[in-house]
Amino acid sequence: MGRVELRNLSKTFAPNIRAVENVDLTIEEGEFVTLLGPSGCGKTTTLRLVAGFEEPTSGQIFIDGQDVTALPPYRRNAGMVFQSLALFPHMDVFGNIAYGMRIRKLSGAEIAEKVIEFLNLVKLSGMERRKIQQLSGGQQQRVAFARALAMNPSVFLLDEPFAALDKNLREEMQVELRRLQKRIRITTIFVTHNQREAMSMSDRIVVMNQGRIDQVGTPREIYLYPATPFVANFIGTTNLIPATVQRVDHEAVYLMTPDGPISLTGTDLEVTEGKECLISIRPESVRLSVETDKGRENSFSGKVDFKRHVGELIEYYVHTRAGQEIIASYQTGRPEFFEGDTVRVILDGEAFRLLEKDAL
Amino acid sequence: MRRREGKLKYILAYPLGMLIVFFLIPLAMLIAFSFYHHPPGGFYEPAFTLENYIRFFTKTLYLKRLAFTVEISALTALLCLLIGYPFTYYLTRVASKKRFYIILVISTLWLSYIIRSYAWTVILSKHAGISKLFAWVGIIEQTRSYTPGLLAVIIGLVYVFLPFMILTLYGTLKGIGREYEEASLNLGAGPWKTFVNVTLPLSKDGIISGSLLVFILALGAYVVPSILGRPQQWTMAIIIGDQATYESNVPFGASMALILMIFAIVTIWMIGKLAGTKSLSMGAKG
Repeated sequence: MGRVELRNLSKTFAPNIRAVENVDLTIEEGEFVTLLGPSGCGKTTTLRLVAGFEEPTSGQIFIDGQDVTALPPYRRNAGMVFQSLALFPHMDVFGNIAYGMRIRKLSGAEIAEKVIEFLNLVKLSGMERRKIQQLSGGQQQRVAFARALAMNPSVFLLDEPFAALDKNLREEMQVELRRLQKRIRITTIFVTHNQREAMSMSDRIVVMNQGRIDQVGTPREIYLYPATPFVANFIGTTNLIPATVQRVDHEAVYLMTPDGPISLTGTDLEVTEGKECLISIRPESVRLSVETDKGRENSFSGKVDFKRHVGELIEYYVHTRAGQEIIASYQTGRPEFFEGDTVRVILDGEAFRLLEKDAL
Repeated sequence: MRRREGKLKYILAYPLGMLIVFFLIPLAMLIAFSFYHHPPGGFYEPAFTLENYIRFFTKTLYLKRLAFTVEISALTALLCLLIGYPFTYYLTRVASKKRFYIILVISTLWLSYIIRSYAWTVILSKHAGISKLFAWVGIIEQTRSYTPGLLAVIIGLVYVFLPFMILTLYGTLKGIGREYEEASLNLGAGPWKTFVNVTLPLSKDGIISGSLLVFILALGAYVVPSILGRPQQWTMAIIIGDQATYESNVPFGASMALILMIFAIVTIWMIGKLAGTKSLSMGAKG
């Protein structure tokens, strides 16, 4: 139950705003997949296409092997949680959760039993007669989950449900949602623009950019091996260093950057001599050293320009001699550098990613 | 601080003064007049008598006029709702040129409704109006005049007060987020069930406000029934005017005006009680 397949899906809003372009994606049963991207990247439109609120311009949608492209939303059996939650204000908690089952004309006893079961599941037992307006933000979220899940949908869709919550509650709800999802093993498509949210919850992340899919992968893959400069920049922080390929041999690729030569072993990017590309390296893979040994491989000299504490990390913004800015992050507790220090910037050769140089 | 409060006092004195001069004093006069005595052949003389009220409640003629006025006002409100709701629903959910339609609705209010009522006497007349069209199409055999008459009064009242219904409903229906309907569709309810279970209950306040507004306006309607109706279709407003101007019986007119007013207030209060008080904020969404 719950395999979702999007085949070459496109949606163009009149006159010619391409919201979604040629999206191909298969979501396996029980998988938690997040559509991630900045606002306007097409993630919400994609979700609404799956729910049936938008009609695709071209392409097909399959749920459990059945082509649902032409079906109206009320025949799709996809449970959705809206960004505004859209709980019915004229009904109490019971009425909201029972709504879908009443429409299906289940018996009163069956409905009551199910409502209690789902209230238990979302830890709201005994609240069935509460009015929606009497619930806290977190409780309303849970009612919205219960309402969408009570009709036993093939796929669970969530459109930025936590966007309005404060940070602590948001994190609490993230954990709760993921636990719930694992317990009932429901195929889930989650939309967010928050990369931390995506990283912490998903089995796989689909990074979208301008209506297209840039990369699909596990949070780890996306973080360590971003496929495009956009992904590298959108997920976490990264340093992008322009480089030109000088020489390629069996062992390594040799590149020239504004600050000097760099070599790396192995890349999935096709490289030829003279090709211009971008090197992506995460701040935590950049080391700073006080030694000024210029012969050291993959290192530049620079000066600490700015320093800030970010939670458990310290970030150093280092100005290199050629005028680039490289960010290095360190766990706090290690010996600190200070603004104005001259340092050696050492790049971890294993942590490089070579990326196609295209428009960011 | 104190100087600011002083200034505020002067600013607030303006609406208060207007209210006293143009509303409270005339109302007090109306109440006083309703207890005055009307000497036969004369005008009025100060007194404290209940004879005007007794006359109203003991003559079936006047009670029947009140009943007729209430009936036709309720019918007008109902028809305005039945025509206005689908129109406004379409306007807020489907139409792309919302502003254009709203201006179209409001533009009918730019003309004096005396003129609009006379326009209907032409439209409903025997020789120039729609009866010619009907006869030509073959719906009726011979051209006939629909005015003056009950049908003309109802058409006139609905036409004149429909914009108030639409504007009231517009605020409410526009305030119902699309996602409520989408949530219902998502939970398996088709468009009709979604309308009945979600849209309609959520627009309850607008329906009540709009209907009350039209009902109260129609209770006081004077121009439309006097231009488009026969004496059988005279409403309370006309009877009151008739008493005050032509019969020179200001005290009786005043007492009938008060009775009508109290009736309207009691109606609003009772419906407000039944539907929950927030419905009384005219046009506001719930």
